[in-house]
Amino acid sequence: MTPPGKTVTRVFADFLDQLATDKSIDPSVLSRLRETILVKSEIDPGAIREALFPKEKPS
Amino acid sequence: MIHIEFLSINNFRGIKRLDLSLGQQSFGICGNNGTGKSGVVDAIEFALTGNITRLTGKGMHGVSVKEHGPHVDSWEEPEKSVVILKAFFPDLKKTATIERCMRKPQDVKVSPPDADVLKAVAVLAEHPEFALSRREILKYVLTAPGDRSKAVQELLKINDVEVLRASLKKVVNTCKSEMENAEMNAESARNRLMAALRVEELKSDLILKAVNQRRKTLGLEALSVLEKDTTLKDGLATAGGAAKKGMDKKTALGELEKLGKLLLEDPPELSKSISKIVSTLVEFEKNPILIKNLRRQAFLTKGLDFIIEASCPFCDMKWGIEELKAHVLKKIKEAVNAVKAKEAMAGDVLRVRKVAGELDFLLGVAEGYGKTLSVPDGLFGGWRLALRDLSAQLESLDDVTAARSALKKGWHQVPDEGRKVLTLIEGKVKELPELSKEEEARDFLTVCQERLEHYRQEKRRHSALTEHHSLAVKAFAVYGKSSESVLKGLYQEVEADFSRYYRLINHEDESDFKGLLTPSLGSLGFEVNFFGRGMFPPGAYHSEGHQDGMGLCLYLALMKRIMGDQFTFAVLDDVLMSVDAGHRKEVCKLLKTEFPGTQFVFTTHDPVWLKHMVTEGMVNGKSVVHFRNWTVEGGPTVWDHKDLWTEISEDLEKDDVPGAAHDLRRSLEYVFHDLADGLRAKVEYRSGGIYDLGDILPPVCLVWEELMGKAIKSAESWEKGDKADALRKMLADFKEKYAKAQVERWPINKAVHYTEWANLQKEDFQTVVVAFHTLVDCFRCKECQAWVHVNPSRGQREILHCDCASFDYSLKSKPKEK
Repeated sequence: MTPPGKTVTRVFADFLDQLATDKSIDPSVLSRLRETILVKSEIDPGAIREALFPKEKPS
Repeated sequence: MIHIEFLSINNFRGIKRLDLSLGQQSFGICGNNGTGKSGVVDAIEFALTGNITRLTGKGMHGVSVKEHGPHVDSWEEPEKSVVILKAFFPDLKKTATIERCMRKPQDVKVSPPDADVLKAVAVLAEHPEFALSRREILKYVLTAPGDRSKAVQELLKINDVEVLRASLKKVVNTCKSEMENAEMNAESARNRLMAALRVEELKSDLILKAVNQRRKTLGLEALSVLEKDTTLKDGLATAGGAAKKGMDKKTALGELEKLGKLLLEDPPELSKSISKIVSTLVEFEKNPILIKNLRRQAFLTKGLDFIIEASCPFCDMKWGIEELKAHVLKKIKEAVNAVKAKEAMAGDVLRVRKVAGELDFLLGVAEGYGKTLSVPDGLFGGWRLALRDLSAQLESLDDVTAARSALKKGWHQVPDEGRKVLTLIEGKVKELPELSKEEEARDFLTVCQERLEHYRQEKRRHSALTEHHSLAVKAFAVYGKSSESVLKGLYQEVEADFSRYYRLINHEDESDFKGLLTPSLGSLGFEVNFFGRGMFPPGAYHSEGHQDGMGLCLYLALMKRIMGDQFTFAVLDDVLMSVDAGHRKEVCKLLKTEFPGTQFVFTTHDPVWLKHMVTEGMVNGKSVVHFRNWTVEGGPTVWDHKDLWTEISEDLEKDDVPGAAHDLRRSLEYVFHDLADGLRAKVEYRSGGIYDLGDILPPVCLVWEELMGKAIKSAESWEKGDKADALRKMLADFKEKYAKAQVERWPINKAVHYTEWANLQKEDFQTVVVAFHTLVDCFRCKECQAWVHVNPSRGQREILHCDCASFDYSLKSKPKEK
């Protein structure tokens, strides 16, 4: 049986791989995104924002 | 997944006690509406998932599984409400008993508690889609693209794809808003710096010229270059003190002059922007639903973040998290026109807000000067507050009427009291003693340095937020492309299977049928070909029965995609209600040939459909249950499991010869109709379309003899002696049985009156039953129990076979050598 989420994981992994081809993006951003989305499975706006811009202080 | 062996239902929904032996075979449940069929479906779902979808869907507020799952007489004793299911796990080759009690629906008892089985049961709980009703299946076909996308994504367990898309989009929007605000702040800081420097443009040479002029006055070394960390007042502290009162008279006068100009003149393009905003706001006022939707959209968008538990964050009403999110997203989508109108005036709103911000800023500056010069402070407070309110209202559109009214009456003009205060401040600044050149230069450098630092800070912030926005936009765009590409591939597989399944069911008239699934972000378009006339929505021209067929085919294609080879169990709850008799056979064939390893549980209120399933070999005669009626105390009353021949035998045991004869004739008519079709018998045409047994039995037997003859010749021509012998034996056996049935045919003649049956002894009729039973079995495959039929269904007959190919004889002889 295809485990629930297999396709989702594929979509997410593909997205991160595609994003990594853009050399203008800091590798640490990609690493944080990968950790947040694939490892922690956090995909809410707050988690994504934190992964993209970790140093910013809450306004 | 599983095959169900046995099901025991106790005090559950409308069922007091019911045991069903499914024997890992496909199973048919028949009964009129309200006889308890769906209770069985609910019980299977409950045993496997701990939930009953029927009680938790839309419009079921106030109803819950725990409170309303038990039988109505046991609603206070949920511990008595238990479903036990014995299942075989084909991939594990293990059997286990799964038991759930309504007292704790989420607790499942598995015995033996094998680790692999426990894992498999946990996965099953994630797949409630194995049991779907006709209504649920149709929602994949007859629904808006956005809703279909969500329904299909839920089924495919890919709804998180949409969740991440929405999150990325939200980050883009937030970044955009922050970037725009930072831009406004940076521009204000820039204007303030230019005012202090008294330059028209912020260019290095102009700045250095203005600064070095003052530095020269103070005997400081000239700055040769302006870099990002250059200090304009470098060396000033040692050259003599700080600026007096933190203000520079000339700068102050310049800023007050700028404020005065801003209050007297409309900045360029501002009037046009105001007119455009006002006319949009008038539209909003005329059409309150737009603004209502817009407000709701803002509220709901914010509310989405708060849906983190299985209840509404506003009223605590119980909801499924995903269900509530889907509900809120649907409402947000309803505001699309209002959002478009708001977006169309976004540029104008930004312009007005910038001016309002600048005005607020200069008033703040003036207020600061006033404070320094002992002018009563706080006099601009109300004015500045109104400007900020207006700016906020234009952004949120909370009070359209107030915003429009403020814009129309000249919102940025100075109030009477304000003008007096400004004049007073200006007078006080002018009264300040004229400073020495050195003092003036010192104040100039101090103020310029302060403003330069502020400008640099705001510019850095703007730059950082612009980068954030750019990264967020990039991520969103890449996600859109990559997710669409993966989903497109996935939907293409589903689309191909769906189209093939549908063609199998409707091969006679829609052999070129094709369905098209078009995914795009947030929606899934679905169109089907209608007899080569073009692609249309499924509900546009196809009949209800065809739509039912599409629903089933799409469901099967999706399940195949999710489960692959392990799609071993499915409940089709009244799914094929509208499929007509002509297509039921094909549906059975589709299920048998494409999903041979799947145990289907069917429910239907149509006993004829159930018989179709039996005669097509979809379910065997023992794998059916027929609910006769239902009472609240006892639940469904079940007819005994029996096939036609058992039923007839029981009629005879009860001396009910007319009943047995009636059953036999009706069943034979149905069987021989099917055989006539499958064997392509030549039956005399009747315009009324009604054929009784006398019309169809002889042509079927005749064509059978012809086909057997052809098959013998073919086998001989290919020198397959064994096959030819077997066929000769079958033909001889058939002829004997047919002859016997001919003799015994009169008692089941339609014209025979009931009184004649009444005179017939059961022993006599038993002979008739045996004769026809043995005759009918001649047309059936001994392995798969399906009827033997001819292929193709038109043109030259080529092969005589069954579905499983155990019975398989060519009708084409070897061409003779010339």
